[in-house]
Amino acid sequence: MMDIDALRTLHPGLPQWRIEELTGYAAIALQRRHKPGVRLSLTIGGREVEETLTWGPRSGAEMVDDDRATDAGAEGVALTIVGHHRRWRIERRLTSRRGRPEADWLLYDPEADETIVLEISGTDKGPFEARVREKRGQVALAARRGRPLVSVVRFLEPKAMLEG
Amino acid sequence: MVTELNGLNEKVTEAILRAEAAAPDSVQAGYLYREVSELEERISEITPSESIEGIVARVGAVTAALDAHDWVRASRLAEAYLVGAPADLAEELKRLLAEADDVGRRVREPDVRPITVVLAA
Repeated sequence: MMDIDALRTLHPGLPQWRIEELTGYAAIALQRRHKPGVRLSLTIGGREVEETLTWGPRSGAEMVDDDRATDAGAEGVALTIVGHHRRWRIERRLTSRRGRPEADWLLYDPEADETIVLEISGTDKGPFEARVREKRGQVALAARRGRPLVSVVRFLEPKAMLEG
Repeated sequence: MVTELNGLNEKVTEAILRAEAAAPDSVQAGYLYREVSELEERISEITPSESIEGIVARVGAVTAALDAHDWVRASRLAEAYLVGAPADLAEELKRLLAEADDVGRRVREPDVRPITVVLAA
């Protein structure tokens, strides 16, 4: 079982205020259709993984911008997967020129002694594979900084994938 | 050095997240991107230009200066980092330098044209 609210312990280097945003938005995006304990259709490195997703219920969804909840919520879910299933460590956030994003995070895989650049994307009910292809093209531009990987989250089922 | 780098990585992560959350092109965003650029510059001072951390910091310092609309700083940093930069980093820095120079040219030579006005009594 994967607990979104465990993000704090999975990535202790993240600022507290951002962890609260990511977990809060993830809960709100999931609560549109699901309850804590929902089965997550998860693929990691091309392999299907049985996973259950839980979180502490949040209120105030009516005051939150839907797109923002989807984007930040997906980041919360993806970083939870990264920490829970891969134990990759967040090195830092990456800067991107406004309007020309490449990747979101620089991570470190201690097992492979390898640097990873990760691009995360979320959708509520939009096309999943098309988003994966789009983000693969985007993150490839950051390949000189590390192994380029993509994670996409869709809240409809919910469904998620993490490369690598 | 590792401890200092880890500390700066945490600071620059927080600064980037705050800058991304600010209203685009607002005064606050400009101030926050300037802070990002300064932190990236500090990271560049303790990391070699061939390392991933060093490349990320050098490109980040210039990129954030551009997002802070400080093209003078962006140009200065890009030119400094170009000295002895490996080929792939140099390629990115030249692209950013061209962008900074283009912004600078538009600031120095604003597009002012005469207009015709007809006054009717």
